[in-house]
Amino acid sequence: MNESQGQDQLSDKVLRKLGQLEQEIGKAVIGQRQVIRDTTIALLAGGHVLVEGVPGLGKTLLVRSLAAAVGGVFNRVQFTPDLMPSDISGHIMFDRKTDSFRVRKGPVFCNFLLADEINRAPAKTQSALLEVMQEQQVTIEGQTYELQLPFLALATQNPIEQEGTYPLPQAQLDRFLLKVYIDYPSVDEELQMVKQITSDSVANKLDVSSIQEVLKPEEILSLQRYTSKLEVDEQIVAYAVNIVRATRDWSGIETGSGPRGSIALLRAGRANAVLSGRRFVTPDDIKAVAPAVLRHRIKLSADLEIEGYQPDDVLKDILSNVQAPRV
Amino acid sequence: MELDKLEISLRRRTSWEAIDLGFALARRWFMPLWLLWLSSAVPLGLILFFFLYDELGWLMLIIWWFKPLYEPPLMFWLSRAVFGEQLPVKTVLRQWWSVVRPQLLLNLTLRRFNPSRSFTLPVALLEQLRGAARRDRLRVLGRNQSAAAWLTVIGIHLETVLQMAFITVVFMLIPEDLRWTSFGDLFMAPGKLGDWLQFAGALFCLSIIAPFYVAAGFTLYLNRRSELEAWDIEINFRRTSERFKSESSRRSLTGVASLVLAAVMVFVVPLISTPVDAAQQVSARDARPLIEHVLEDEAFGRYEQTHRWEYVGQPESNSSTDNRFLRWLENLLKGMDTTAADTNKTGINLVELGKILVWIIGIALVVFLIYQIINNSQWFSDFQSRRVRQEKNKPVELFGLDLRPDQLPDDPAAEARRLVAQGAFREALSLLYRGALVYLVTQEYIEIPDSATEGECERLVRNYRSKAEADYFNTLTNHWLRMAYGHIVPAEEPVIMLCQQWQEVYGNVES
Repeated sequence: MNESQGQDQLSDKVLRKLGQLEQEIGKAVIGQRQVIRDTTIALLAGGHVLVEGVPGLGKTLLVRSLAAAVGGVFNRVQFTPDLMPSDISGHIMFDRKTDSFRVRKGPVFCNFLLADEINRAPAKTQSALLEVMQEQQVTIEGQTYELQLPFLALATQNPIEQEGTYPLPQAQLDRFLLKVYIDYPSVDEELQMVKQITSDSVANKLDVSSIQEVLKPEEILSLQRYTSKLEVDEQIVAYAVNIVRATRDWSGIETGSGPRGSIALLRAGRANAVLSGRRFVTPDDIKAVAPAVLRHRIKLSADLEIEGYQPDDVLKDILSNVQAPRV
Repeated sequence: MELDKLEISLRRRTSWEAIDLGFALARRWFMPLWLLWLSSAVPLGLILFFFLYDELGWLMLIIWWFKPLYEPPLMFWLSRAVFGEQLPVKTVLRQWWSVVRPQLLLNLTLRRFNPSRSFTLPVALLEQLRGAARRDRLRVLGRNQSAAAWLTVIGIHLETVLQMAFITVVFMLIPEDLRWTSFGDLFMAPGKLGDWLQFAGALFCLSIIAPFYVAAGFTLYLNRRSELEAWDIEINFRRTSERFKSESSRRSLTGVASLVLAAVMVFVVPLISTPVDAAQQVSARDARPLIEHVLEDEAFGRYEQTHRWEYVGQPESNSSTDNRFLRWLENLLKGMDTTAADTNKTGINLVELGKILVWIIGIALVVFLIYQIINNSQWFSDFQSRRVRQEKNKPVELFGLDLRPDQLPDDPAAEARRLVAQGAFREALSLLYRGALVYLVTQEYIEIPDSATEGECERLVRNYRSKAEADYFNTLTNHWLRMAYGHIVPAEEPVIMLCQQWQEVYGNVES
């Protein structure tokens, strides 16, 4: 019972701060509640996010706000066709003053990395980033460097202007915990955003000065550990696996999700439960995160793509056909 | 009537040859005929579209019903064209109303299902006969004329086949990957696109068939008049007369030929062209030697000998009653090729048979259209009484829980309290939750799919039930979730409270 009470206390403390985290980000990023929620889920689950949306919807602002609210280091890399892997990870250079080689660490050495338009760089450069995301370490000239945790990469893709891009292969997409669609804000949200950003502001500088630091990077790490230990009933695990397995046999899906999808579903489900103030995962948590977790892990058949179906349409069908667990 | 200006070659033809001639005319003058049909049908279609664009079934029915409105201009044009006067379409349209108006109301009502419509149309339109005179005229013209009814029957079939073919072609032209529906659904399933396709197909096919139908009816009429009034002979004599006149002017032909021609013109032409008048002037006794004299001429001296096979043996004795139908069918088939006398023998009147068939097809078409209208529109919704809430099929099992009311204890709340007293909180909460779902599914008919999570069930209850019930269900669900997935054992008091409230909220579950 004491342990249970201790968990309750930890949960209350954590939840209070988490609630504030979302509120703080919301001060700068007007609207986009689902995107903020998904990004927070990825942060708690220790995953990375692929954001798809047209330019100018606040993707950079989102990551900067997150960095400001957590007190971490923020970096941004604009992916271009001539970007080299060493431009991301870093390289060794000769220092004339000391007459020796020294390591110049790349922008990846941060807590929050915005990889803008990741599909504009060739596969070699993309792979460099994806390796960092997976291993959370960087190897420069044979020397391995651990990243400072927490590390969250938020890569963006532009759904339009596909000419001259290098679409991420399915295997690399699988490394992202979530794929989030960022859409245009509503009228009220846009009005509020325009007023807020243009008031007392010079040029287009993104203002995150109003955001207070509510969590420290170390607290994020403890939160991640707490989330990973959250209790999950066997039925919930089976539910997540059933959903993922359904994607493999579903008509209209050419390639379904692998076991990494089931794992990601549970990790994200746990984070969602924490954000909902619970110490256990329910089927609703799994169902809520399933679209974001699975939409980039399935490949639709050519028929459905031609007919204009989106992965979310098929996932909706799957979720409405997979039996929810009952104990 | 200037028969010598006829554009067609008149000779004795069977009815089927006459129809064939009509088709040839329709092919030759298709464009003006088609334009005339469209000039009548399209404006009506557009006007109707404004009022009935949501009721495609009615639109189709009315356009189909008004076919007698579109046909008179075609008949009028043809009646001039066969005599060498091909009127511009504009000219016919200027006098459209005067052409269409005669007996229009009757044509659209009582005579709408007349199987010989195109054959009888010239009597009203060209001869301007009405009432008893029309009936008498039709009696004379229509004697032994079953082909007109068959023309209508075949026309209906052709329209249907063309319409099906039109939709099939359109369907086949859609790339397979872009087909959003099956071929059967395109026809049968209610839906705007399928309806519009059928409507477009119907209109197109009506417009294609109409010129052929009207032209064939007109040539049947011409053929019958030619047969009755010997137009072909009259034309031949006129031509002969013209030839003699021209030759006499050139070569000063002796008066003998003129005399013979005059004699023939005086005696023979009236005899053949108007037999009734001829009978008054020359008696049968006097006529016979005259005819024989004429027939002695070389021009009439040609005899033909034809041979045919005829069964002369005894008919097979067939006393079996099972073969009665086959014999009747045999007689019927024979009757199709026989003359009136033969049909009297077989007892089958083909015109009557055709009429019956056309009526059956017409009624079936109307029933089909009404069925389509009812299926595809909410037009009748205002007249329908409010549906009585019917009992739906109650699911026996939902998301693994047995939902049959008889599987619940008589008093679930009391049973849950007993389980709580034994410390079986999980079973108690499960019973209460299951009982609540049974109530929602079986008593309130809330459809809860298998994939519904607890949160979704809660949202359904909040949407469809009272706030008090939704609040209770929310509390119950929270306790159930903590117990089931969090394995958190609740305190006894709130569960007892839930049992008491359960009785108040869901106490009337039928068992």
